[in-house]
Formats: sequence, structure tokens, C-alpha cells
Amino acid sequence: MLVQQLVNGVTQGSLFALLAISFAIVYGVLRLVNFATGSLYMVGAFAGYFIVTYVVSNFLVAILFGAIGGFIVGFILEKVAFRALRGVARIASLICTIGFSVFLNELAAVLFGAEAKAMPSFYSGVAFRVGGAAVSWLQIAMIVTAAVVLIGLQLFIFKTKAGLAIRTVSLDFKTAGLMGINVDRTISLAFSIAGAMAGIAGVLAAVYYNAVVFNMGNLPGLKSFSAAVFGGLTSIPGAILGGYLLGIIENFGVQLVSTGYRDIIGFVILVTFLLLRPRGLLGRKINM
Amino acid sequence: MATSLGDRWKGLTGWIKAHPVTSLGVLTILLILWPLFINNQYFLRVATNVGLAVILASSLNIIIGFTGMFSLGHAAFYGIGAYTSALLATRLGVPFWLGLPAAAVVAGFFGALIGLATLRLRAVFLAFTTLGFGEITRIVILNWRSFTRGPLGIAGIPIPTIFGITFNRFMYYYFMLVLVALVLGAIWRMYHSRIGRALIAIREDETAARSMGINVFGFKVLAFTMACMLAGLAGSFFAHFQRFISADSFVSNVSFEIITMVALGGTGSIGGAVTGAVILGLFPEVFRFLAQYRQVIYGLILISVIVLKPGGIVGVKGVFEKPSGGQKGFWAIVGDHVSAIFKGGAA
Amino acid sequence: MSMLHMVNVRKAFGGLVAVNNVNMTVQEGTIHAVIGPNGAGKTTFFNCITALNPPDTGEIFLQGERIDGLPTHSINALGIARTFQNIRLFPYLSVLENVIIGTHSETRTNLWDALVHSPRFRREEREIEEFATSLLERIGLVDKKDVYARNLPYGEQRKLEIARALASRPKVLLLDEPAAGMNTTETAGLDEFIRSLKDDGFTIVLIEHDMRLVMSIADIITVIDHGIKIAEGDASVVQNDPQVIEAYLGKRAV
Repeated sequence: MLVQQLVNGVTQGSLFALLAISFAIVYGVLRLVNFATGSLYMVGAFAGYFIVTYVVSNFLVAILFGAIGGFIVGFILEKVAFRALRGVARIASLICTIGFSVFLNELAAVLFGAEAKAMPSFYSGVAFRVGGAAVSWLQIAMIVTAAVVLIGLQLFIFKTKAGLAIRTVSLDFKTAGLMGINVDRTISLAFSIAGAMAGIAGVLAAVYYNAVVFNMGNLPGLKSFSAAVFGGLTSIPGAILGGYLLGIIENFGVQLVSTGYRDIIGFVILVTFLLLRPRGLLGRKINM
Repeated sequence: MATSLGDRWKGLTGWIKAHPVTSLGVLTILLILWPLFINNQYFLRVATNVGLAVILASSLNIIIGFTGMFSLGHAAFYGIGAYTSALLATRLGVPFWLGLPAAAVVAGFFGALIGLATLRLRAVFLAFTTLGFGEITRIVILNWRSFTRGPLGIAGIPIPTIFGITFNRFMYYYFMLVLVALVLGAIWRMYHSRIGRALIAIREDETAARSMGINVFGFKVLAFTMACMLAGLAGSFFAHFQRFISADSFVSNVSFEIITMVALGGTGSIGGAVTGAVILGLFPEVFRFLAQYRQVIYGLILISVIVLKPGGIVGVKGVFEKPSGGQKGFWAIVGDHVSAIFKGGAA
Repeated sequence: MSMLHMVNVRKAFGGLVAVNNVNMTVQEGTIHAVIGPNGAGKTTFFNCITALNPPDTGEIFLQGERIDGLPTHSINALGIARTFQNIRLFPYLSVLENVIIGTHSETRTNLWDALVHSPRFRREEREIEEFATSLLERIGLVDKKDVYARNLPYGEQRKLEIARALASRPKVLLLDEPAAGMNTTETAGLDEFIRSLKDDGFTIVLIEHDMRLVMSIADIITVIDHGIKIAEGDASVVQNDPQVIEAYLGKRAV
């Protein structure tokens, strides 16, 4: 039983990890929290849904379009909520992203209806069993996809010039600008990538839960922020770690409290860490 | 010389600003008298609901506007007040006039608890914590079936009786009017006192405030608790007005709506919060045909206000000040932003 | 009796020791200047006294009572007020309102008083307005009392900040670079003003870079470099101290 929870936990943790990275990238580069991350997740999920339903029913294509959807909307979001508010109190950007989150969610509800839509499934069937737990092909696909994306991101961040630009801007954007880095473009890119991450997570979730619905991003967005804080907002590996750990803890936790209270676990972790160890597990010391 | 509509409008608002007491007096008389001439159940109900919005927006304004903190879970305290009053009434037969203050106390208690635990956090983290608390409250209400009847909600909340008179639609309205007057009066007096000044100082510059002898944390908790008490008050009334409540009435979107009201009217201004509440409270009724787009429009309103006119309708100065400063005309600002978005770089 | 007494105050930020076991005593009713090259740790030292950055180790006494470990607002209530290097006024409040807010620790009105407009409320509101106005008269800004603070010229903003500090009826005034950005005339006016404050009985501790001002009004000067006190004494002593010269000008070329 425990092994099953572990497997489920790692699978869901993949989703949280991708979303947590989305938060971490934006926070790292802009020191701002993107409240609309959950909506970007939803956008990606819908993008994947439409491609799969109307064009070609292919898992990888769905992932790709989820990423593209998230990328584009993330790009727009950066221009309006952050670029246009550059230099204004941070709280203004936060409120603006809240506005975006409401706007995007409700727009989806208006355009696509408030009921959940069924997402075609992929990779059904059990792959193998270990210790009394069943690991499905779908779970393997999800874990592998997430891992590939995360590794790809790490390579991008640490091994490419653009990635270096992003890292530099996160450390000190004024100096980065003086060094000839196009700060505006870098921030735009980072934000769009964060959007893509969220979008990919959205598609994966759509496939896993077989459904897309306009408000699917609310709870995952919140929980992933918890995961990001838990792992360390200023640390990308921390965000990944936080995401997987949250998934595992949630699945184990449900054994202790009834399923209805499942979603509280993430918040309890959030509040605890914010109060006791704001830098999270792996983050640098920050002033809270 | 023809006077344009714009000139007339400016003339009117100018007169109101110059004669605040008279304007308020006239407004009060209008508010008291109109139901006697227009005996319309629908209008009365809308007006009463607008009153609720005014209390909610004004209370949140204490947190966001006066003190500069950020609460994304205000609806939770609204809900706590509503459920307290409803449970007391349906399970213990507690009358409304006791349930109302009880709701305020319970909501205030939780406010103080959350405040003590979280108000040392920086803005964005406080925002998420309050949002998290809002969600936790909703989830607990949904799941603690033995106590709250979970998703079934609480129905059959009794109609209030005061001095033996059972409320009818007029009584609800006038009671709400009195409640709004008391709440706004209290907020006004608090604002124009040492306490209000301390909150403003905290909002403007915490470090300076501290150095001037202001116990920043203490006042933050005070402001937060006050705001939550008022939200609880509103919740109690709501429970006895609508006579049915469930967790659905207290979802996060409600918190966001209240934020939108405050931002639209003018964060930090008492009149602004009222204006925002009235506009967005009437909006669903006036624009019935747009009902399904309501939330989308609210989202757009929030985005637009922040980006284009952060001072809100009333035009509070200094809210989210831009580096360049200065007060530009509304359309000039729109133009700046649009061109900034396309050219790159800040406006 | 000494007004302010600091013993072995130390403050480090990670690996950087900003204030390194500094001892300093400020006598009542004197003007005590703290000078040193930029980045020497002077503002941090002020922050230690007012607990904005509480010291890691060391003790601080105000008129014999220990104040280190107390929160900033209590320290203000006990009698220490300060101004800031980069002015921290409330830009969208009027000149008068800025000063009135400074009276916070001198008033007792609570929420209940405010809500019912009790006699105490009415009395205190009247008193602080009179007091604030008199402070504005003293610094010569009373005709601008309704102007937004941000619209004042720079020199007047600095004076306003001092007035706001005075509003809390302190015993000790910590002034952090009050002459920064001022021209010669304004500085001369500041010179007189600070002297008059001393005549009124205030104890003043002053961080300054303007040497003319410092040498002219300071009774005692403490020199801090890289967090360490390297000299202390009156103007003539400090001016001729070789370590001070070296700190400011570098080692003499051989």
C-alpha cells in the first residue's frame, strides 16, 4: 500500500515540480510571484485538449502544444502585468496577476463552458507491479516526460548562453544590463518558459485525470506555490524537490486524514515553512 | 455657450467635494426616503446587498488600503461570521441580535489568530497565506459534515426579530442602512485618529513608522482583527438575510471580487471603497444581460485599474506610485501603456 | 551622567563585520559627531542603537538603562529619535501630518477613545496639532504646513524630518547625514539650527561627511573606519590624528 502511495506521490509530484519551477523561475528573475501560474496550467491543458480532440491524438503533440500555449500566454502576461508595471510597487503586479487569473479562468468558462471536458486517455494499462503496487504506463509516461523536461530545463539554464543570461539577471539585473545582456528580452524569455512549464504540467494533468475544466489550475497553483516555498523559492533544484516531496507527502498524508482534507496538507506545509524556515529546504537566506 | 456633459459632471463632483457635509446629508435623506416612494421588493433586495458589499469592501480597505497589507482570503471571515450566526440560530436558537455580535467576535478571534501567526511575513507571502487560509476554511466547512452539514449548507436560518417585530424587506434594508452608517462612522473615526495615522505610517514606510514609536506588528494585528470582525458582522447579516448559506458563497472568487471593489473605487480611501462596492454591487443588476461574463469582466476591471489608474475612481494619490510620478489624464496613461507594451520598456 | 553608552557593540552581516566592537559614550547635552569614510559602518551603528538592525553582541544604555534587545518602537518611546540618510518622509501626506504622526509615542488615545471621541481623544488631538504647529514654526515651515511633503525642496524636507523626530519629544536625536545634498547656505542654516537644539537641551549624535559642519559644531568626534573606532576627541585632536588622516587620504606616499 505504501509503495502505491509512493508511486502515486511521485507521479503527482511531477506536476507540482513543473509548476513549482514555473514559480521559481519568475521569482528568481523578477522577485515577483506569478499568481496566474494556475491559469497558465489550465491554458496548456486546454491547448493540449483541443489538439488531441480536433487534430491528432498524440501524447507528445499534446505536450508540445500545451507548452506552446503556456509560452504564448506567459509572454503576454509578462508584457502587461510586469513590464508595464516595472518600477511600481510589487504588490501591484501581484494584484494584476490575480486579475489575470480571474480573467483567464472565467474566459475559459465562458468560451468552453463550465463543465469538465473529457480528455482522451493514453497509455492505459499496467506496466508492472512492485511490492504490491501497480505502476501504470501512464504514470511512467508522466514521470518520464516530467523528468525529461526538467533535465532539459536544467541543461538550458546551465549550459546555454540564454540560460546564463537568465541566471545572471536573477542575481542582479542592473549589473546584467551593464554587462550587455538584454534584460528585457531575457525576462520575457524566462517568463515565457515559466509559462511553458506550467502548460506542460497542465497537459500532463489533463491526461492523468482525463479532464480539463476552467478552474483546474486553482488548487494546483496554490499547492505548487507551497511546494516552491517548501523547496526554496530562490532555488530551482529546491522547487523540483519541493514539488516531488509535496506529491509524496500529500499521498501519504491522505492515509492519515480523510480524503476531503487532502488539499489542506499543502497549505499546512506552506504556512509552517513560511513561519519557521522561509528560505525552504534549499533556498538562500531571504528576508521575509 | 453650451456646457457639455463633462463640464456638468465636473461641476457636480466639484460641488460635492466643496460641500461634503451637505452632500452627505442629502444622500442620507435620499437613502432613508426612497423606499417609501418606490415600494419595490427587487430594488430593496439589491440595495440591501449593496450595503453588504459596502461593509465588506470597507473592511478589506482597512487591511489593504490603510495598512498596506494584503489579504486574499477575506471571504473566509465573511463565511466564518455567517456560519457562526447560522449555527447559533439553527442549533441553539440564539436570536439575531446576539448572533450578530457573536459572529463579529468569532471572526475577529480567527482574524487575530491568523494575524498573530502570519503578519510578520512580507506582502506576497502574506497574500498566499491568507489565500491558503481562505481555501482551508472553505475545505473545512465542506468536510466537517457533522458540524456544518458540509455541502448541504445550512438552510432555514430564521428571520430576525427585534423588539418583537419580525423583519420584512423594509426592516432588512433599514437595518442594513444603520449598520452601514455605524460601520462607516467607526472606520472614519478610527482613520482620523492616532490609530489611523499609525496604520498609514506603516503603509507608507514601515521602517520610519517603527522609528517613530509605532508598534508595527501590534497595529497590523489590530487592523487585521478589526477588518475580520466587520467581515464577520456582514456574514451574520447575510446568513439571516439570504436564510441559506453554503461554502459556495465564500469561495476565493468572492475574495477577489472584494479586492476588485476596493481597487476600482480607490485603495485607501473610505469613499473609494464605498464607490467601488456600489458600482460592482449594482453592476450585476444593471448589466443583467452580461451575467455570464461577469467574472471575466471583473478580472478585466482589476487588471485595467492596476495598470491604468491605480488610484481608482476616486483618484487616491500615491498608490503604486510610478517612478516618473505625476498625474496624467486617463487616456494619456492608456496610450503610454499600449505603446510601452509594443515598444518594450516601461511606460 | 552619560546619555548614551555603547559597550562592545558588534554587528556582522554574513562574513562582513560592519560594526566591530565599538565603544562609545555620549554625554548629555553635547553634540557628538560620528565620522568616517563611506561604508565604514556608521549607519549600521545607528541601526544598532535603534534596533533596526539589533547588534549581535554588546550592550547599549540610555541614561543607565539597558535598551539593547528592546524593539525599535520602544526605544523611540524611551527617548531616541532619528532621521535617515535617504529621507524617509511620507511623501503624500502634508507637512503638518508628517510631524503629527511623529507624536505617536507621546499620545495614549486608543481605539475606544477614537470611536467615541472621548475627552482624552479631543484633548490629545488638539494638543498634538498645537505642538506640531509650534515645531513647524521653530523650523520655519509653518506656512507650508498643508503642502505635500514630496513637493518641498530638498533642504526643507531634511528639516521636516528633523521636526518629525522632535515630535516624539526625544532626549537624544540621531541625525544621519542631515547636510547631505545641501548647499553652503542651507548647511549654515543647519549649523545654527543644530546649535539651537543643543541649547534647548537635546543630546545630538550626528553622522556627517561635511567636515566644515562637523568641525564647527561638534563637541566630540568619533572616527570609525571599517567598523572600528580609530580615534575620538575634539576637533583639533581628530584632525591631527595620523590614523584618521590615513583612513581618509590613504597612506602617505614614501
